[in-house]
Amino acid sequence: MYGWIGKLARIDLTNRSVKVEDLDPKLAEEYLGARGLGTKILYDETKPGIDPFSPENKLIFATGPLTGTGAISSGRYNVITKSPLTGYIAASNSGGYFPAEMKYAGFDAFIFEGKADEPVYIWVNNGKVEIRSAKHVWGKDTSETTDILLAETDPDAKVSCIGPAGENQVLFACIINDKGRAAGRSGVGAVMGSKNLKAVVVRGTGDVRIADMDGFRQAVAAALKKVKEHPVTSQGLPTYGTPVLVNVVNQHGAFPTRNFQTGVFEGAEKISGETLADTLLVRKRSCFACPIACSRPTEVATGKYAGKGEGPEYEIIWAFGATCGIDNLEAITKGNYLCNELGLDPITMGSTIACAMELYEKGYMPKDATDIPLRFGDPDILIEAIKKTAYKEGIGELLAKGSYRLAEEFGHPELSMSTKKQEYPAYDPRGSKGIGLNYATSNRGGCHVRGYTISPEMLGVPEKLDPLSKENKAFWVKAFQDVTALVDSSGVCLFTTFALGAPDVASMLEPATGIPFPEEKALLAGERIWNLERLYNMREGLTGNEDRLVPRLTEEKMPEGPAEGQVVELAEMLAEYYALRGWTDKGDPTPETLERLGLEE
Amino acid sequence: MKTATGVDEVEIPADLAPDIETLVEVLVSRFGLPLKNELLTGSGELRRDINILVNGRNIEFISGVKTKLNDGDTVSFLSAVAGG
Repeated sequence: MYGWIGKLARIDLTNRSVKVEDLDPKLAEEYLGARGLGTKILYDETKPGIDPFSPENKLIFATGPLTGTGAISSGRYNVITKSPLTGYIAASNSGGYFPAEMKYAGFDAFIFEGKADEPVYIWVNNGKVEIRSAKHVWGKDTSETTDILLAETDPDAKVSCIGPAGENQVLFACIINDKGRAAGRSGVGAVMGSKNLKAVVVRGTGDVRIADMDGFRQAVAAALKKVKEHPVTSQGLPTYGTPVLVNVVNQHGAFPTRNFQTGVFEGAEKISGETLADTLLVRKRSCFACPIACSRPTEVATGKYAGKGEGPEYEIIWAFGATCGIDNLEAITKGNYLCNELGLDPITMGSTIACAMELYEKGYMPKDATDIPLRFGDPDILIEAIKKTAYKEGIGELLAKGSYRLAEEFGHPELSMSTKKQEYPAYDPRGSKGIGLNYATSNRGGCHVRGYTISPEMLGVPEKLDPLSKENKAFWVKAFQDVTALVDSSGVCLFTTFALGAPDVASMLEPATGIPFPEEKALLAGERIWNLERLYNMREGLTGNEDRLVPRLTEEKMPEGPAEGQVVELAEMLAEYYALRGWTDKGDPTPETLERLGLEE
Repeated sequence: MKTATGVDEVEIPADLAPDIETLVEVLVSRFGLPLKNELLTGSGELRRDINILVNGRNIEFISGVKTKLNDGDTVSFLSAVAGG
């Protein structure tokens, strides 16, 4: 095969056996790789109703056909499993250098099955797969784990691992690779921990074969030119990274503050991307084959929040900043470092703390129910809460379940800012209606990257859409969701899509794989993958009733700012969305749609 | 634009800049070529990758460059710089 390696490694952790299998070319062509391929494998090989922490769940690391080829920003992989946070599909995306190394080591994907009887790590070295004891690194943070495992395998290897949060099965634990890149959401790290799997270490000196090298080089050169000419990918992201969004979103009045109680944060300037660049930024860094270089290594040199690492990204500045009412950038950055080291999803972590703060301040959480006073605006509480969550100590035991179960415990689930039990990220949809429809319909729950309509609604890319209007948003949400599914399954980074579209991805896929990939076929693959995720969730009991937003967003008017008076008119947008998707008015894909997509049972 | 002007914000009396079009002229006149290159194309039109908000609303959805300005209005000039 070209593009793909053509090999999967199936690792049975219960029986400590490894089987190398061929990748089915038909599956590869229809589902591409990464998010699509992993979802298809999970759908075919697991039964509905399994406990995400049971040995029956599978944890899949999957690259895409473009991963490691040298195509633009081609350093991505996905981790796919059944989420312990939502009970639905989890597909978490990460970059860095680990994914490309997987391909060079000789594999498109790893399928982890069963459960080891004691902590193990997997060492993959140029086609050879070993299961080794990880007892000596169990309990260690992700950086220390990485250093120790590199020292005993190969200093040029790449590591993907969990921290104490994953070991303790915190429902939103993540998987960290290359010491600062994260397969962040939906608790994929907790599933890894439930299997006693501490880390995967890969080293490879193999090649990824390209079918038509001249054609591939031309396509990549054309894509690179577009990326280099677009202001987002050539100036904004490289210069400021994602944190520059703080002022943009706050100016639109959509910066969720104190658990989405309002959309304007009085402390925004103190935690803005410009402030970060002036104070804590060390330099920029890129992932494999990426000219955008959006990564932000930082350092807090002195004081009680001292530390260094990658980030914070915009989402973390929000999660530990505005939504917790905190305007201390050093504390926010420290919170980010802790999440990287302990292996926690900071979006869910921050939103859960914010929810706890509102429950506490309103008296719904009795004061004796928590060993720390959970007040908005207190940066020391933030740090304490994160540490306690990773180890499930004190109030951390409840925080470790995420905001929905926390709020439900105290009788107010409506104060969890979430859909399908996964928390919304850093955009209040009362100030950007399209992202609200995306939150409600995303297959993995509250998520912005699944269909990033912020791009037209606030950045004017590819064109300017009125964020306060519901008109035509269903069209845009579906379009973004399908293209994102395509890109996520190709192995290329989503950030290229500020400059590139489906035709550009297809133009690289075709010469890389040697398989015809006209734009329509590539987009159909994205739509197919979206619908397969929907089918997986429906098999787990999902109905259209869960395509919803919390009452705060649909019934409580935004109290101030540019979006004052707004609510999200979800019902109308949803009806239009279902129709565009070829689903019934209850949100079920019709037989005709399934047949068109090749998904008929 | 901060690099081009050296400032984060500036106050302009509303009687000097009754609308966005005039405001842009005033700002370009004050800050010169560096700002002009950030805001305008070669033919003198507003660049498409610049978003101008008046009190948080994009002028595209008010009256474009003819959007009227009053004392106390906040006008934000945002480049299409990032997402995430």
